[in-house]
Amino acid sequence: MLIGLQIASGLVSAAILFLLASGLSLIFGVCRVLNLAHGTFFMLAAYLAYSGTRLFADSGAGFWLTLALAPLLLAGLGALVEVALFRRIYRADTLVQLLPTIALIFIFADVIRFIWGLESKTVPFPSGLPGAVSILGVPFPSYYAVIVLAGALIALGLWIVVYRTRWGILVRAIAQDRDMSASLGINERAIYTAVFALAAWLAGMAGVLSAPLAGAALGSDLDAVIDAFVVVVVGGLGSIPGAFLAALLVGMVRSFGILVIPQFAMAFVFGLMALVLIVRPTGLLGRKES
Amino acid sequence: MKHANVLLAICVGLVSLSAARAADPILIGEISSMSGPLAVGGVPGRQGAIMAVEEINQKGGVLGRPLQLVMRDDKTQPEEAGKAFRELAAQGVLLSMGTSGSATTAAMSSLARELKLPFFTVLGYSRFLIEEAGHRHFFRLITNDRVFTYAVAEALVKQPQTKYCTIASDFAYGRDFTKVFMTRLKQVKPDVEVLSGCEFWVPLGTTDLTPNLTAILAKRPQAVLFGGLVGATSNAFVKQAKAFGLFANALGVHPSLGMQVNNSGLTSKEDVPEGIFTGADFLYPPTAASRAFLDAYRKRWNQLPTEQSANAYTTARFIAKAIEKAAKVDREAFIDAAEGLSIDHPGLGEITLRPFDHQSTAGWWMGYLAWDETNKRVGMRDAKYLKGDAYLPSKEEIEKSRSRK
Repeated sequence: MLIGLQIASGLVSAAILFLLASGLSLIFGVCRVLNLAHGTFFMLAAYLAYSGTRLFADSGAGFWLTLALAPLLLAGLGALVEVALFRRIYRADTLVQLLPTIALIFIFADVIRFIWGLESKTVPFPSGLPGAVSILGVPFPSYYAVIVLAGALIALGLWIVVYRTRWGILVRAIAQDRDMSASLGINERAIYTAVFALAAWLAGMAGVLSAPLAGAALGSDLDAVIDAFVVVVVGGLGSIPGAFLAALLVGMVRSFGILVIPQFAMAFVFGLMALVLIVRPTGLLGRKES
Repeated sequence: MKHANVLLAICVGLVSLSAARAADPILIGEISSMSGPLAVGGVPGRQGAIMAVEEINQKGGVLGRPLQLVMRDDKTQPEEAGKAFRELAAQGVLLSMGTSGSATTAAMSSLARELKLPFFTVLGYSRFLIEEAGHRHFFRLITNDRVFTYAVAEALVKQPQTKYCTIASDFAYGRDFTKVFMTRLKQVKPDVEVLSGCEFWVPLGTTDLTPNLTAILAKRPQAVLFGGLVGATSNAFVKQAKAFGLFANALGVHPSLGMQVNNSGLTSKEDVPEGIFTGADFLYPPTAASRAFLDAYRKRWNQLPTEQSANAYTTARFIAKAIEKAAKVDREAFIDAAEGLSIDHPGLGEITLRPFDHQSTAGWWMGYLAWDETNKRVGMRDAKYLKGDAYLPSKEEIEKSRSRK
């Protein structure tokens, strides 16, 4: 029973981690910027989940409406941020690229503080779900199953989009060689904007899905981006399958790590990252920079 | 036209400024966490202090002079607080108060000793600040963690549960609290044990507690001590534990979950599981004093007061009362007057500053966490007030612990 419970809770962590990390990885792989403000999309989505569930409370399906709408809002914001800011810094030095993303973290944290105040918020569990379901023979609150299911479906969808569509081919072409793709007439600007929107949508899904469990609190942006960063480094910068594998691995290490030495659960995760970096500096499924 | 208005406003300001010169204000420093993680306590604390000073000045001030708060934001950082404290000392404040956490309070206490400038904490609950680290220039009208840790541990003697799991944030308070609580509980109830492998430490600020929760569930404890979880983490734990039905099978114990700083994220009836054993240093008991305070506070700030509001309000009024008693504006005379002085706290009744350690006799409300439908916020049911004196060290014990240092 204990093993089953830990696997199930590891899967829940993994689902959220994957949604967060795949977006960060996608932006890095295609646009070549490390968006440290990625956790900000996540935190903002959690606050939108709070407001959305209150706004639509009377409809009886408030959470599901919010889950559909809030990530779309974030996708719009992601596109806006790309057009207004990132587009201007792609060719800049890595350090120069990092500074504006750090600025975004502070700006949005203050905006959120201004709109929602200092107190952390909780978001109710969605209505219309059965009480508990059995995951691997263990009774689990059914909402946890929703997270795992949503994570798996989005992972599948993302794989289809990136590896089975024409748009995905273009994205991968740009990721492989920006200048060559541009000279072949691919409209890279539009693709960059779309990638940012997609990544922000993914972070938005992560934020709204985890809100009923974790609530919305200031400071969750940095925790989220650090988690995502660890997963991306383990999986390989720019690799979606890598992010998937690493999210599962990190989720399980965390879940089982606490059984061994509880206070080292996080240390195990960072230990895993260090180990991967020593054995495979490019990450599990990452490729060497050309 | 707009500019004319601004000019007019400046003129009016200048005139009223020169009018106030007639009686120079007595300056009181007020350094609180207005930004950063502890702003959730600092903001209501400052509002309480401002309200007290407004009331006092309306009644003619102290010794015929108005009180004036000189306010600073410590950004939840001890260095910022220290800088502000030195600035205020240079500006000639009589003394200072502040709503900031234990780390900042410890720093302020050392500075107060160095500068011989009295300091009142409104949010630093660590017991050592008045025990081994206590001194003449440090004051606390709020209770301390020895009181609520011991009070709740001793109350659990009557409960049948003996098999415990513990979970706490991995930082100084979380570790210290958990150790002191379990040690005391085992002293008074020797058959209590912490189940093996059921002692969890989580990173400060984390909200993903599911793996810990499932591990706890698998151990089938009779009680879970999670008083070492603070802020957003304690809210997330309550939420996730409720989803798993943990509190239906095990007694949840969190001595300070009744405090607004720890429960502000629990915003609806559905968020609050029944039967968590808890406490707070302010709640809305149906006494006339607390009701009057609540109404006045709501009128002034359009919000409900928190424990910091009530504590800072009481601290500012206590300061005024002590200056009045000293009959002059002088730091050492103030300290002599403050020692042994009593004041009415809107939530706790009369409290007295103990002369030998500068800790007040403020106690702790203890009960079961419940949703307060009237005020639409977390409250308690079956709440009982425990006096602080019973759990505080005696004069001899204080002298012993201070001399050991």
